[in-house]
Amino acid sequence: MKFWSVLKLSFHNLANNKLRTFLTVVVLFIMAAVVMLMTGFGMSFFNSIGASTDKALNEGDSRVSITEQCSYVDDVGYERHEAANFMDNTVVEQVMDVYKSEENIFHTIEFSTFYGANLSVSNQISQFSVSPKPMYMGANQFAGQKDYLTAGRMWNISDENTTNAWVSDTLMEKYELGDTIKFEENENTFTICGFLVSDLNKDPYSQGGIELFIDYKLFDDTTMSKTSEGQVYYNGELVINKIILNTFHDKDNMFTDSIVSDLKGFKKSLNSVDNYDDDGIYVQSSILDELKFAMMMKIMVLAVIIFVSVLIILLSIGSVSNTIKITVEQNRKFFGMMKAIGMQNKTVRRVVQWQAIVMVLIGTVLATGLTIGLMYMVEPIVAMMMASVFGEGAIIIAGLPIYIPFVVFFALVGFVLLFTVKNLNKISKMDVISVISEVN
Amino acid sequence: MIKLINVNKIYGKADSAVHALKDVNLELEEGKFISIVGKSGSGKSTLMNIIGALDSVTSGEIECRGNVLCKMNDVKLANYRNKNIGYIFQSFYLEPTFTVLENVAMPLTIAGVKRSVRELAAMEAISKLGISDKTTKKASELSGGQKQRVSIARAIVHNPDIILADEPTGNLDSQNGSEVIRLLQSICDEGKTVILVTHNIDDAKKTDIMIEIKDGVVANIIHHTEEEKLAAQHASDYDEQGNLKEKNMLDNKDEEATIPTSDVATEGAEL
Repeated sequence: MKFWSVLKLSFHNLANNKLRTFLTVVVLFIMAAVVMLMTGFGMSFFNSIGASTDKALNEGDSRVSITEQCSYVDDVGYERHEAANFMDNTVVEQVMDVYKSEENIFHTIEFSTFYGANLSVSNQISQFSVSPKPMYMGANQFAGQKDYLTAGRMWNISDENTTNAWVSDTLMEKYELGDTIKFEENENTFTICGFLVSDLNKDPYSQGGIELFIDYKLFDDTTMSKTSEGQVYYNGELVINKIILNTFHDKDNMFTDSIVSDLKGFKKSLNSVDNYDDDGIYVQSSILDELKFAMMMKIMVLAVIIFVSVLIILLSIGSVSNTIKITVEQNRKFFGMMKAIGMQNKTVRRVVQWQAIVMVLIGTVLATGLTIGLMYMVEPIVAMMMASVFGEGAIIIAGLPIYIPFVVFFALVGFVLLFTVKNLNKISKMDVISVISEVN
Repeated sequence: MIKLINVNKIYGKADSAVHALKDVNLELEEGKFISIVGKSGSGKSTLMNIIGALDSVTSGEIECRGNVLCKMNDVKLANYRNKNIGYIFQSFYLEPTFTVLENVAMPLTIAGVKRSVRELAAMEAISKLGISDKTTKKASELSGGQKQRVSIARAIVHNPDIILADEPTGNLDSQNGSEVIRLLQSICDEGKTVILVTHNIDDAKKTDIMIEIKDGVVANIIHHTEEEKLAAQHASDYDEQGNLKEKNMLDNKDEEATIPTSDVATEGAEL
């Protein structure tokens, strides 16, 4: 039997039971619409989280804080200042310690967690390193040892576990104290932005820190790699696409005060420091915490979407399966007659299967239309709701990805056909004689 | 030639088993109008169903025009029915929402015949049955007599070798019943084998061969001469005074049949 004839018979059977067909399509429509709406809004939600994160990471907003009040003297006798959550704009929360000793003429900036980066400056900034491990640069190690500042490799500190991976570029220009250093190679390579607090031409011992902007990645102890273009790759994937470099210099032994002052200026220049508490501490939750929260929210939303989708698909399957069951029962005589005059079992099954497919198709198409329409209509409401969670400017309505209706359609068809096998087998077992006898 | 060799058909198992056919041996000549008569439960419909490949035998063999039905699988049997058998049922078994044309063309639709070809064949069959003016009517809009004509047209549209008619006059009045027998005879005259299952002896007398089934066995086979057939036909057409009974349906094909409305209700409840 030709396909179009099978399809015609399917439509005929659907039309013969208009109410049941209508109700089944309505159920399918509602179910598919809910799944698609959830998916669409879920993706919007995800995008909003992503946008919020991007905003925090890339715009350098008020995530840098300085605490001058936390100075203390460590075991070595250095006065330590937990000067800043200097690396807050990275996904790792890092603390910059500013060391001040009686004799030392420079500062070391240590990043206490994850990866840090240090910069050495001689007459010109030529290289900086990104180290996989926290680095500690003590006065004894570094003071006056200019030899360490070699081209292509900034230093090799005594910590054997430190592996320096290089993202380097040459800063050809000279900067004045307080300048923001920024140079970009191209859009795909790293960007270095720095806040120069030293006179690069005068003092060979300058150090600095860089802020690493990475997208959704947390470093671990695996060595990073580099490319000649200066991009930072991690496990083969670009993880650093922007670096902000801060340099500090202490030739005049200004040490903490001046540096912290400069840091404040630097942060102000980023329009970031405007939320200090009474003690002068900038109060802001760690971006890491926010990322963790965002991650948790993502997982929760994903779990809810999957759970509800599965539930709805199961209900849809139940509905269509029941319709198929009733169809088979009610059309026994029709199918019996068709079999009597030569229709094969597989053809009868195809007729019934196409009934299900047609109903699912109609339901999915209607649901797609509704979902698209509804998403545009309720976008402002959802945007408002999301803004309350993620803040203004971080809202992205994803719309309905084009593949979602197809996924829903094929999932429904697949499951419906799978779950109607038993009912369809009744057709094969249908006794034509008994069916005919029922009427005769 | 249709051959039945030691055919047995048993329904059920053990104590509840019913032996519907017992060692039936028959050789049915092609191109004949054959009737199978017997009381209810005698096994006549079972015999027809087995010949029509609707039912299988418990033991024995059945061979139709060289096809050994017992050796065919479901698919082959379906194809065999579709190509070689035309069925006419007491309750017509038309799809009420289909037009006459669609109903008649159904065997060809199932066979996957091109639309233009099957509609041409269907129109020809409809024309033969004298219901050309009903082509576009829905089956549910027809009278009982017209429905049976459609049913007959459907049975012959694919030019099968064997026409099986199971109590085709059962739901018709005597005039329409007589007309259906005439139509079956005319089909037979075109070289088809027509097997009529009936409990109406008068109808059976109009056939070439009358096979009487009794308790599952062939009790009697009677060959009718042309004269006997004519006499039987005459008896049904004329009353005792020699007057022609009501105008038959062939001469009045457009007239609404006098089928009780209950038949229509039965038809409507098919699907």
